[in-house]
Amino acid sequence: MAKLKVVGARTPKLNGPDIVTGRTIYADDVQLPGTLHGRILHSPHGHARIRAIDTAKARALPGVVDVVTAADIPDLSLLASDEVCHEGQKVALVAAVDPDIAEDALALIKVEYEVLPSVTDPEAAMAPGAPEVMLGAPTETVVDENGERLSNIASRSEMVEGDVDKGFAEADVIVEQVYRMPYFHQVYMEPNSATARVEANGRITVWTSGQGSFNIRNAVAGALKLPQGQVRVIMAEMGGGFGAKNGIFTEAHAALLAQRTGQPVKVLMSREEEFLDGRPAPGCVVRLKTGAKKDGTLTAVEGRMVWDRGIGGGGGGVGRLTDIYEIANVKLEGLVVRTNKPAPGAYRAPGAPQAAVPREGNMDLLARELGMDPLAIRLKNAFKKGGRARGGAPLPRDWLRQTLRQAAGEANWGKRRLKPNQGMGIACGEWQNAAGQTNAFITMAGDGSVSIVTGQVDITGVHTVMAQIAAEELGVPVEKVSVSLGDTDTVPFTGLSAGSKAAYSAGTAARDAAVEARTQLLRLAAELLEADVDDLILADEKVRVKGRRGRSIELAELANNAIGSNDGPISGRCVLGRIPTYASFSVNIATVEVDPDTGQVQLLDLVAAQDVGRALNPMLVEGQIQGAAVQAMGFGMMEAQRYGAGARMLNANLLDYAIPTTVDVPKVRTVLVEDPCEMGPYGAKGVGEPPIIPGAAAIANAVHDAIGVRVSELPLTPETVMKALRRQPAKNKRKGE
Amino acid sequence: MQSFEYIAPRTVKEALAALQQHRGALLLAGGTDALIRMKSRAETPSVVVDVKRIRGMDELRFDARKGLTIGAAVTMRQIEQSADVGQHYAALAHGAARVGSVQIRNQATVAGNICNAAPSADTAPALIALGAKVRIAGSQGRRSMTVEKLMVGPGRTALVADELVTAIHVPAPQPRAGSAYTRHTPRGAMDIAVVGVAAAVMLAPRTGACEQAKIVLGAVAPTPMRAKRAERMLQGEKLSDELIAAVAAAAAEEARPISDVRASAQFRRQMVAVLTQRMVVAARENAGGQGQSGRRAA
Repeated sequence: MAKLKVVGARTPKLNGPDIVTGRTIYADDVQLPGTLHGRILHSPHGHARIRAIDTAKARALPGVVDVVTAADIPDLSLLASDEVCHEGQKVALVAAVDPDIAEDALALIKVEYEVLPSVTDPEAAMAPGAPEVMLGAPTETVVDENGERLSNIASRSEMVEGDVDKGFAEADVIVEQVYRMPYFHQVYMEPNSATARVEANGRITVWTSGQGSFNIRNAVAGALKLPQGQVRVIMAEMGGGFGAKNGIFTEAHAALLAQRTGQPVKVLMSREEEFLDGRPAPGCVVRLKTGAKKDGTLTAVEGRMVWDRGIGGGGGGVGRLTDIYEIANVKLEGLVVRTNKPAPGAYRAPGAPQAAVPREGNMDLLARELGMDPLAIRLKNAFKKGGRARGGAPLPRDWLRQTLRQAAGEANWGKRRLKPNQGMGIACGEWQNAAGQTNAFITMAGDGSVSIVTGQVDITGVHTVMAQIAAEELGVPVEKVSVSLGDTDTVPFTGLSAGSKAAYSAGTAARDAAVEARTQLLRLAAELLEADVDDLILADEKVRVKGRRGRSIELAELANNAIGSNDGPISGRCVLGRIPTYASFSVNIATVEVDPDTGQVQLLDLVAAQDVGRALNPMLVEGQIQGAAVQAMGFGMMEAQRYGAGARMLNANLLDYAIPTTVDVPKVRTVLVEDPCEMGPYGAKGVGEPPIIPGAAAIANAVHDAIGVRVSELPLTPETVMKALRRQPAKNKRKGE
Repeated sequence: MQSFEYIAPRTVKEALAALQQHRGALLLAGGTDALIRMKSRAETPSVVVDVKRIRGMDELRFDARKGLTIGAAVTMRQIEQSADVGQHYAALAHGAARVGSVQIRNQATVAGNICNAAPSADTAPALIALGAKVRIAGSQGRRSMTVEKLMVGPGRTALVADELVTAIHVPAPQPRAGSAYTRHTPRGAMDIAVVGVAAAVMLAPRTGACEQAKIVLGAVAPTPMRAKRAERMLQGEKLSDELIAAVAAAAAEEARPISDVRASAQFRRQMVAVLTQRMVVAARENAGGQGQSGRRAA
């Protein structure tokens, strides 16, 4: 491959200036004349039967245009009809001429509830005899050690390989630990907002933001029982999604109100609603037992992962508990338990951070028992060349160990001098990105400027990367390339910008589309320059003939020429289905200091190394890693949706639900491990999700190193750390420098 | 938020007239508490009287003999950045500097902080420890009372309907006196105290014994509270580390914390002990007592 000029450069985000100067149009900035304001009445109870709803007073309030309950829409399941199973569940809708009147109207709706027993703690929910989370919902039959049937089990899975009894018999050391992790929220900066309008021809247009316009279109059409072709979704810039915005929030409700009233309707969610009726990450309780030989070789892993999936039910995998280590004997059980909480959604590498905490925790417990270096035991058991991480393609190179070594080098692992109450911890993560269902349409204007249209929603600079790729292939400066997001009427089906797939897939599409345009340019240039295509060099906005000084033509001239030609303008298109991917790895090393009197953990620094294949834009990749580190820190040290009596959330606001602030976050030292893989564009791998996986696990391991006590419940708040220290006083191995 | 009439008087007299005319009017200073309550409809005033435009209200005045006068519109940021406050009223500087973020401190006022009367108000323990009084104007005339007496319950003050705080006065600094404040929060900024502790001590000239001591606890009772038994244990005694440890334990016993989503009562009590110990040591150092190692920031 020729030396890359624009791909791999630290090109600033194309839309960065608009974002930081407030020019960007977000979904809530969409203001149509005559817009009504929709508001949602949510259940105040975690579990209740709806006896009756009286909307008469709300309807009578001047300025109220529509009030909707389930009784008004018998064919649609957009509102609870006779049972609510979590606080925040939608019960009624109001559309009014202004938001305050809509709020007033909500207060006038009288709902008669019969409160039912509720449960939010997953262990309590699965105990025999626990209250039924959703009346009459189907459950799996799973019995406990006393033969009693567990409650509220939505699904059960099992993963068995080899013979764990034999594996544990071979082990010299066995460790076992229970880990607990709560519900935690994506806390995207932009609350959800959607505006819907019915067009004169009856079609519905929805302006919103999210991670995929087609997923939203299909969900709106499905919810309203409309043909997909009757709904058009136009996406504004998204202010953070992290997986939560893969699906719809209030788009269908806005569309319903627009249909009923004939006026545009906007529904904006408050931060409180985002917590009460959001799609947070599921919680879990993991019991994990791991055995190893004296030399550190893992022999067996056995355990149970209980996923707390609120009212969502569904499946819950266990494979990530073994993930990146070679273990011959595995017996893992996965249970999904229902609780009276909102159904979780995706959150950046869904499930992987929760699995990394026990997996990496047990690796450290083994290292301690064996007197082994935590880095050494990981190097020993890590998937090597030829390994098949989670059944993916065999690894062509030793990526994980490469990443481990580079992280250790940057962190000065084993050599850094630590003070009393300081500790270091290491953890690994694995992720195989998704890919596919994307597109890029490129045209060159008569002046040589390039425009790209794609259906791929821009998150994390995807459009900038597409522009870099087009600039690279077409020999133009990146400033001459613009990228626009097509909507569901203008581009083919495009998948979500999720699963670390956007830059990987749309980058491939941009490259292939640009190559097509480039081929046209060269063909035309060959004609005009009377040269062989193979002798042409396209660079610096012109095409010249190799070895013949002065024989060249500007791209603008070529493009202009093409417009008047029989073939028409220079253009390239690429529509992709699926493309293969490889596993990628991330390693974090955290250094912490713990105040043994208050339990306060301070993250002193974090080294975050990632196997990125090739960084298409190192600045954006580093931004991904840093952002993920902050989220991992929140998960590790601060964040938890907490619930009290009646399954009510106690901290549905950003004061009591603490996320890290700038003063809490240390310098994140990023290490890009660049060993290009064969499948991605220019050797790139998906980079968005892997960096969030190991952070919390590394912090928990560092705290153990600092105080000599394992705190196995996240987040590691001061109170949780003090509770652990009360049970078992600190064993500080460092008595000073 | 419900619509309301906004009045910005230029004099105290005008403000009092507005309060008399509009019963139930809401007094607005920095608005960092009031606007949040209005947005969430916890308060729905029909009239809001803004005290920030009243002439002289933003004045922060220090006189070595007369003490410190903090106008009702003086912001947290002014306090935080005042060299005089930092030098003579360390606890107050610490308290003001911990509120919210820089943006919030540019807006929030000290007077608003104590009139909002949250048990966790960060400047309240310091003001009480330093013996501060509020100056109050009302239709019945002017009066003053200690900050300690002003705060009577969560969100409740001793002010009557048509009264407003015009200034806070902190007595002149004494020689060999020192103070300090700190708080426990799960994160470094944009948080409210799980526990806050202010300590102020005055040492005797030659013996170094403690002549006066105040220990004030925040967020562990319906109002900021003095740990009076702990204070008495310091009276007339040398501030040895052993004594301070015993005093810290006493303060923890005196605290009346509750359990909530932010922390359990047990943890709060534990933090009272830890922070009281640290703050008495810091106040001792700021007073120039034993173990001095320069001015200690909380």
